Amino acid sequence: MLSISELEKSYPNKKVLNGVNLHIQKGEILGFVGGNGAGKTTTLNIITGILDCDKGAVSINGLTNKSGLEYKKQFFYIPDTIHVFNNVPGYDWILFLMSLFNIEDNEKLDEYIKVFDMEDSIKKSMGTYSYGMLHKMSLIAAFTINPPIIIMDEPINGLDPSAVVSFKEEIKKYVERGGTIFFSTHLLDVAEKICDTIAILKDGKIILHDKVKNIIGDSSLESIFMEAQIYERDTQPY
Amino acid sequence: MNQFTVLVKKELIQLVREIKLVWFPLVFIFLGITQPVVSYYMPSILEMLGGGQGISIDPSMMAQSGGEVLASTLGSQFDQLGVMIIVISLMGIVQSDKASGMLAFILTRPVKVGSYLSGKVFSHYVFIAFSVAVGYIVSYIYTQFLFTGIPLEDLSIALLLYLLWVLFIVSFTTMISTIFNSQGVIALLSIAILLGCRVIVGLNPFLDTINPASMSTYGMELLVGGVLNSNVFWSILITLILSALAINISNTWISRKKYRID
Amino acid sequence: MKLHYGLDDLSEFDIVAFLPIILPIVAIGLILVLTALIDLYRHRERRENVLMWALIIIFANTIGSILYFVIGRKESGGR
Repeated sequence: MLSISELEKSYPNKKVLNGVNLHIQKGEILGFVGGNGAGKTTTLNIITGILDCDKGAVSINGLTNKSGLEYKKQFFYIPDTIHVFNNVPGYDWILFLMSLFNIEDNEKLDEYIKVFDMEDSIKKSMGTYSYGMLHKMSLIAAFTINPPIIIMDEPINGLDPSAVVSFKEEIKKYVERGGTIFFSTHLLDVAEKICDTIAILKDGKIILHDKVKNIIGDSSLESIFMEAQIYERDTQPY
Repeated sequence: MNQFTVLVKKELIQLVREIKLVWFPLVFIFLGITQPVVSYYMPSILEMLGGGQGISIDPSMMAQSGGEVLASTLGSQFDQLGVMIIVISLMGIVQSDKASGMLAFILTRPVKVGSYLSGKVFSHYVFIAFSVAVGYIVSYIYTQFLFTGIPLEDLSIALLLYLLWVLFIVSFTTMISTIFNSQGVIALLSIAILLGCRVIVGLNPFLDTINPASMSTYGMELLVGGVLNSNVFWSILITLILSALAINISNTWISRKKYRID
Repeated sequence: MKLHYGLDDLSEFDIVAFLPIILPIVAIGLILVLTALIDLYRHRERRENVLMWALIIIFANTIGSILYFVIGRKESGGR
C-alpha cells in the first residue's frame, strides 16, 4: 500500500538517500530503523510532503505524493516534535485536525480520550502539555481519524507505561480494522513486541526488510539489527 | 466546515487568545481621536507654552473643515504610526509558522497551501479593516463635534478606498513574511517599501495610477474637496491585482518548498 | 472667535466642555495600560524582561502599552 521506489535526495554537501526501495503491505506494522544521518528523517519528510525528492516515487494506495490533498488524506503523521499553539486546548486542536480529514465522530474521539487517560488535560491549553501528553494527544487524533496508514517518528518516547500498553492494544485493533503502521524506533524490545516487520536503513539504502521472527531467529540478521540499534542509541541527541 | 472556514476560525481563535482583539482596535481609536483633538487644542497649547505675552495664531488655522481634519487622520496618523503598527503586528504572519516548524507540520496535513494563506490573509484583513474602520468612525465623531460634518457618501467612499490600501498592506506584508526569515528584515523592508509608496504619491500621474498608496490620497482628496480623482477606477483595479499577485507569489513560494527547514 | 489668550485666561478654560472630549482618551489609555499589565502578569513566567516592560507600560503609559503589544509579547522558551 505504501510504496517507495528508487528514492534519491541530496543536500548541497551530501547525498542522503541513495535509491531507497520499500514496499509495505496493508496490515503491516513496520519498524523503520536507522542511525543518525542514515536518512530516516529525510525519508519521513519526503513521504509526508515536507520535502521534495530529487528522483524516485512515493505512493500510497496508488496515489503519488504529487496528487495533493487526496494523497495527504491517506496518512496521519505524528512527528517527533509536535508543533502546537500554546494557547489552544488539545480538544480543539484534535477537532481541527479531524475537520481537515472530514471526520466528525465525537463519540469515537471521547472514547480514545478515555483509552489514553486524557480526560482531565484534554481541555487544557497545549502549552501545559508534556512531551508524552502531546504524543498521546496525537495518537488520539490518529486513531479517531483512522486513516489508511499512520506514520510515526519515535512514538514511544515519553509515554508512561500504561499509555504504552494502550498504545500497543490500539495499534493491534487499528491494524485489524485494516490500518497500516509505519514507525521509526530505536527500542529493540518495542520493535520486537509490536512490529511484524522491520526495515533497516543504512547509508541511504534499505539493507534489510523482513519479518521480525526471521530476524530474531537468524543470528546473522540479528547482529545487523543489533548493530543498527546500538548505533542509533549512541547517537540519539537526547 | 470546509478547510478555509476551519483555518479562518483557527486564526480568529488566535486573535482572541492573543488579546489582539482588544488592543488593536483601541490603538486605532486612539490614533483616530488624536488628530481632531490635537488640531482643536493646538492653539491653546501653543499659547500656554508661549507664556504671558501670548502668541497670535492665524485664524485661518482654526477654520479647518471637518474633511481636512479627518483627511489628516488618514494621512498623518493611520498612514504613519498606523501602517507601522499593522506591519509589525503582521510580520510573523507566515514567518513565525516557518520558524516554529508549524508550516511544515500543517503541510503534512490535507491542507491546500492556498487555503492556509487565504485563511490567514482573510482573517487578518477583516480584523484590521474592522479596527481601522472603528478608529476612522471615532475620529469622525470627534471631528464632527469639534469641527464640521462631512457628507455621508464622501465619508464612506473615502473609508472604502482607504481599506483597499490596507488590503494591499496586508497582502504585501504576508508576501514579505513568506519570503524572508528574520522578523527584523521583514518589518524593515515592509515598512520602508510601504511608506516609500506613500511618500512618492503625487510625483508622477502615471506612478500614482499604479501605486496602491494612492488609494489613501484619493480618499483624502475626497474628504477635503469632495472630488474623486478620475484615475480612481484604474487604481482600484491595479491595487486588487497587486494584492492578488502578492498572495500568489507567497503561494508559489510555499508550494515549491522554498521556505527554510531547520 | 478669540484666539489671543493670556496665561490669566487659563482659569477660564471651560473644564465642563473639555471633559467629554478628554475623558474617552483617558479611558482608552487606561484600558490599554491595564490590559497590557494584566497580560504581562498572566504570562510573567514565559515572557522576557518582565520588569522592564512593566516600567515601560507604567511610565510611558499609552505609547508604552502599544509598544508592549506590538513587540513585547515575545515568549521565551516557547514551543
